[in-house]
Amino acid sequence: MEKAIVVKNLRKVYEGEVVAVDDVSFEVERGEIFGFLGPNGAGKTTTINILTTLVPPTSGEAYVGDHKVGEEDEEIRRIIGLVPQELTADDELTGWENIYLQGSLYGMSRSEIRSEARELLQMVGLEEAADRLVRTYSGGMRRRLELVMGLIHKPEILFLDEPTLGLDVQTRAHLWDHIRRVRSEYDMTIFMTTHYMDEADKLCDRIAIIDHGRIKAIGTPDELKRMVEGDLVIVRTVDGPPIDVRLDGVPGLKDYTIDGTEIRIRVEEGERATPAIIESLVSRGYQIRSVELVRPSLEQVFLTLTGRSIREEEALDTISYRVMMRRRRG
Amino acid sequence: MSGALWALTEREIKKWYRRRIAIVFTFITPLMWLALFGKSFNLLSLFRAPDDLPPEIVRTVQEVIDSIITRAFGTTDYFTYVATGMFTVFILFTSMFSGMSLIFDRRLGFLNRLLVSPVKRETIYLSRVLATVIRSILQFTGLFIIAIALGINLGPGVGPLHIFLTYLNLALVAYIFSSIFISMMLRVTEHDTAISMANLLNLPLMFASNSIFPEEQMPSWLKTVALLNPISHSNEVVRTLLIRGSLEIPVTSLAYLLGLALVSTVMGLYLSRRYLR
Ligand SMILES: Nc1ncnc2c1ncn2[C@@H]1O[C@H](COP(=O)(O)OP(=O)(O)O)[C@@H](O)[C@H]1O
Ligand SMILES: [Mg+2]
Repeated sequence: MEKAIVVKNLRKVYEGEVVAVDDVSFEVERGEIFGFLGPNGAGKTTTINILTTLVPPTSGEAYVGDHKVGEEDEEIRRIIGLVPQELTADDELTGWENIYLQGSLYGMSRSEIRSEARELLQMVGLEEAADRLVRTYSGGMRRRLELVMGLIHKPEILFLDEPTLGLDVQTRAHLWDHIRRVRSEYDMTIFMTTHYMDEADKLCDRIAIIDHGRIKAIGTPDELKRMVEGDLVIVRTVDGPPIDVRLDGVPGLKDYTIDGTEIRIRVEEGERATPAIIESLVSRGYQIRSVELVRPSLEQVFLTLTGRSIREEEALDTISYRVMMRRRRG
Repeated sequence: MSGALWALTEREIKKWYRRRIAIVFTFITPLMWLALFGKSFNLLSLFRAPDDLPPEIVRTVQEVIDSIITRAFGTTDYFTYVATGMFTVFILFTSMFSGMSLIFDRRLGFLNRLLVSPVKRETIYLSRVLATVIRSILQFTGLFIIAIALGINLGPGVGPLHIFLTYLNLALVAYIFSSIFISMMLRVTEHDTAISMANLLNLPLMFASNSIFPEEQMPSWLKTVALLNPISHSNEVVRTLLIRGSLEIPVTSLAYLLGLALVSTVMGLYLSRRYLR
């Protein structure tokens, strides 16, 4: 068993016209956090739905834990966990009741569920609230409950669909911590989707940028950023404008500009270039006040690859729509 | 995976008893029918011997009328006749909405939770059927107590065994109806569909049965429908047990109900495996 997930030329066309996933291929290594980064409607959820056996692909192949989607669905279902984009815990039940129900779907006994859940609830700080009806939870609490439910049977491969959608910055950062801890403690593979740049950047080992159902680029966050521009090293010197800067020996040098006492140097890899830059300036007698290493953001990468940026409102629209739907049904 | 079956059934039951107000509402319609037909339109009080005749003739005429009525209705008390018919109708009303929870689970995404798990699709389906049977039986107990309070005349010799068999029969009917209605809702995503279908079917199914009137008196086309209607057969069983106080359950009715249960089981299991995704 090598790869956790292998996807080859996957395609999904809804109702004969909407191409949700268009010839997508990628591989996910065991134990990594692999992220799909893309705007609303990019095909992230559709891909997850295919990999979790909910929706059959139109064409192409997918293997999850060496089992072929569409042929060995039952085997796949046994080893995966899904934390869906929508909040789908039953809000007429308590946290515990939801957890028991979830565990029993995987053939776990009540005592197994109890001991497993206690640890998880503690980790996400939900022990106190577990006896309350889910209806009384805040958005952040519900997300954390969803996470506990997705983990209760210790899946080999966990799917997280927009795990922090609609949460405030602080709550999101907490949830990232939980996700990192889960990965290291349970040694699982995580496939996640997000439209938050910072989330993909901070959480994922590797990212696939997806737009209109197509993968635009795959790589580590650093690789992706390097694809576009390289790093920027900004050096400020104490006195005078440096007139004869000579940076020939700097590895991976692209170009540089001088602005007063500030030199902005573009290089391929900041870590490798910085020592050489400092040395060359110091050897010429310049006194250095500060050195700053600026990495290009994923935001820029996305813009360059797709020609547009991921707008926040798009995401918010879906949330308020969902809330509305719930109210209407409520 | 019987743990999953019970856990899913338990969920349905829990959600049901937490909606106490909704439970009260489920009794309103059958009570209306009971009050309207059983108490207000007391059909059989129309048939009184004229009292301007000599007393012994009045008595004789009344006896003749009563024997005719008893032949048709099995009792001279119309309320008892309607009440025993309403039990099965009540089960129908309850079962008709048994597919609703599935539609909501689909809409709210809860169903996906079940579908990505290794739980058998048939288990998901059966849990709904089982929950409806349990719910129907508990609700029937409520209606039965109300009917006793309103003065239902149970036949002489009705004992615990008769009542136990009535329960079994009604559980069988709940099983048949809920299997059919849940099967029909496996692919449905709009709850309006379920409500419209229930509204379309409930009254015709009730009137085209012997619940409020014996089928012997019906026009022949209606009689045919009534004879195919499982409600009529269940009523036969219930009335044999509770009005006649007899244990000689009509074999054809019982066989018909068991046959339907078998067919609906096969159909439900097949359809749930195929369409529950
Ligand atoms: N069940 C469906 N039927 C038809 N079109 C769908 C369905 N689900 C998603 N789509 C369409 O497929 C595209 C991709 O959707 P989705 O996978 O949900 O994107 P994302 O999760 O990246 O926001 C969108 O255009 C969406 O409207
Ligand atoms: Mg999505």
